[in-house]
Amino acid sequence: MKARSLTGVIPVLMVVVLLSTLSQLLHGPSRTETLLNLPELAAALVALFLANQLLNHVTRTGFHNEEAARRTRVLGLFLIFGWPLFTLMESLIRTARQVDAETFSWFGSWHIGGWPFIGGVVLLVFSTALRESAEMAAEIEGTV
Amino acid sequence: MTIEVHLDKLLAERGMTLTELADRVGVTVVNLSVLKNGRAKAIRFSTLVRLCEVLQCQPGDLLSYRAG
Repeated sequence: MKARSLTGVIPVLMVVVLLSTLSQLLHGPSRTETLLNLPELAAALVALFLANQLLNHVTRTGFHNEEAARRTRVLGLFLIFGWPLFTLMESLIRTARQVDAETFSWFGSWHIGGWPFIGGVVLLVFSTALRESAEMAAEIEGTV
Repeated sequence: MTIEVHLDKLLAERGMTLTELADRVGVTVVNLSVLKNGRAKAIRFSTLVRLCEVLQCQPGDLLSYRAG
């Protein structure tokens, strides 16, 4: 599958996720639960937005350039450091709602999420390889 | 320290244009211009061989090293 054919998929996916959340907020059985899930949903939307930015750039200029490496690195860093912050926010909101002081724990329900972390590390490794290939491409460009 | 390319001088001596040389060597005028203006990062041996064949010169006539 070519990258170009994927460029329209991510924005559509983002709209579907937003509409689904809105629908749950308006008509769902547990609005509170939907609201509590908003930080993780926001994290997913930010990740999709960054992935879309990367994909758009790659379809225009190709993979072997500094900018593609930078965008891949940004997405990787977001998955490693940004995603846990959003889930921490969700955890804080959940625990703040607890009224029982005996069992109260700020970080009790915080889950960092294994797959975003692993995905982020993979993307960071990939961005390093991309940076190397961008340097090689620049050298080849200057070869007569 | 730089490697200087004396394509200008060799072309003038042989009364040849850059376009004509590019055609005969089999590279684009743009690439040959990059070489002529000292912006090339590397030169293929195959290109060097063709340049020497067409210009009937040695690699040393085409390139020279300048220290400093």
